[in-house]
Amino acid sequence: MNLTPILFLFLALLLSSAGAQAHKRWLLPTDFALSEEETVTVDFSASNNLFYVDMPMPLAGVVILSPGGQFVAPTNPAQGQRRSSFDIEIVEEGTYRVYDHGQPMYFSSYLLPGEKKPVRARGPLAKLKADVPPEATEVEFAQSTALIETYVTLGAVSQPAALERNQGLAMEPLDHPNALYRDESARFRFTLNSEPLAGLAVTVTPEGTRYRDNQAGQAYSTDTAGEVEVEWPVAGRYLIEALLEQPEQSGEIAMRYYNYFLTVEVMAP
Amino acid sequence: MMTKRKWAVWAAILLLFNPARLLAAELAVNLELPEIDAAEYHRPYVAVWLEDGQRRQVLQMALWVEKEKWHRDLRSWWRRGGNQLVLPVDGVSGATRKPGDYRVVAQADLVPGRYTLHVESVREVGGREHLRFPFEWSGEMLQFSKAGQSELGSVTATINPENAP
Repeated sequence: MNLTPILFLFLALLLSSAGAQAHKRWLLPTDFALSEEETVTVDFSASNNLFYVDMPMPLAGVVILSPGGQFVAPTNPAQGQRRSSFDIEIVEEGTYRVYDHGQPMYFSSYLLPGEKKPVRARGPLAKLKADVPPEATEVEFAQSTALIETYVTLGAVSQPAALERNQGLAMEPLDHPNALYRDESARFRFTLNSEPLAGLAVTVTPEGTRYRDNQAGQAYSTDTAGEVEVEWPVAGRYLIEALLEQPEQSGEIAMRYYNYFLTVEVMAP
Repeated sequence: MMTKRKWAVWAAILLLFNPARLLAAELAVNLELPEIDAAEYHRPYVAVWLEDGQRRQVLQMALWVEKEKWHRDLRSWWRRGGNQLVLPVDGVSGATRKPGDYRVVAQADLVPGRYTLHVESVREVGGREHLRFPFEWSGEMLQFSKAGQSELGSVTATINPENAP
């Protein structure tokens, strides 16, 4: 199976749908490190221009975990035309984890007799299955999930709380994501269903793409332990992205897409 | 007092050296949109245009774009007149093109003087490249070429008075 055209078509399909899911998606807090209790405002947007908001992301799937692992409710949630945003009252010492682990999205593709172009749809898996006509051939289903996250720390950094479900593509910071400095590299371990994932392509892009003629994204690949060691060419905010396309040999899902997006801040030393 | 004949000579001399005299030209640009190996590839937005010595756009040669929202990303083209252009422009504006070699041809009557031919290409989640070909138009045939480094491949341009209509 040639995956690239399939991915392309899925991206096109995603792009044409309301969520604009083929775009970079990110959570951007006003502050990543605080020395006093404060309210942090977080923008949640789908935008390829780092970090200029473009399209709003739904807030329903956003989870905020306090340093002690308690769920924190956002305040002032708002969804505008160009971004979604919410506030977090940061009152507990340590590291807050903010993420959207979303529900999987499903896609179907099948051929009708005499047709060359496959019919494609997206929606809940049960509905997609029910909608496939009996005469259809080359029926395939695909699944896409995303983990979009960031961290905010008051005072000294602490071990962030665990995800509610460590399924899919995730990242365990080996160096703390709220203690990154330009003159120090940082290590991150990527996992798939909690197991270290080797050979994953990871892209690290500094903010400000609107004002330069290239993305300046650094490409990394995880080692056998699932780890990458990232260098920071400039201070500023970065988006760390990974996309895994995982074809399945058996089962009803032929292809699984896993997206990962992390926003971090790198300080000048 | 000037004779009729003298007037005719002066008129001929003025006509010959009058800087406002229009000289017909055919401008031909061969440009390559390179294959780019990217995880997420979008076809580039491309603009080819001519500016005079005052950096005013005097000729639109090609405009390959999609969503109007991103026309501004052709930054130089947009700034220098793209933002005032009413679209579509017949024979100029159209859909984005896949990687490959393209030829763009336009006719124009040009006052002799300084001009710059521009080729700008910008790609979503990719890069941007802008090649400039400054030249002095005096009615003589001109040829130039440049190799793009990222978003453009080889670009050659010919300005030919003989092919003018």
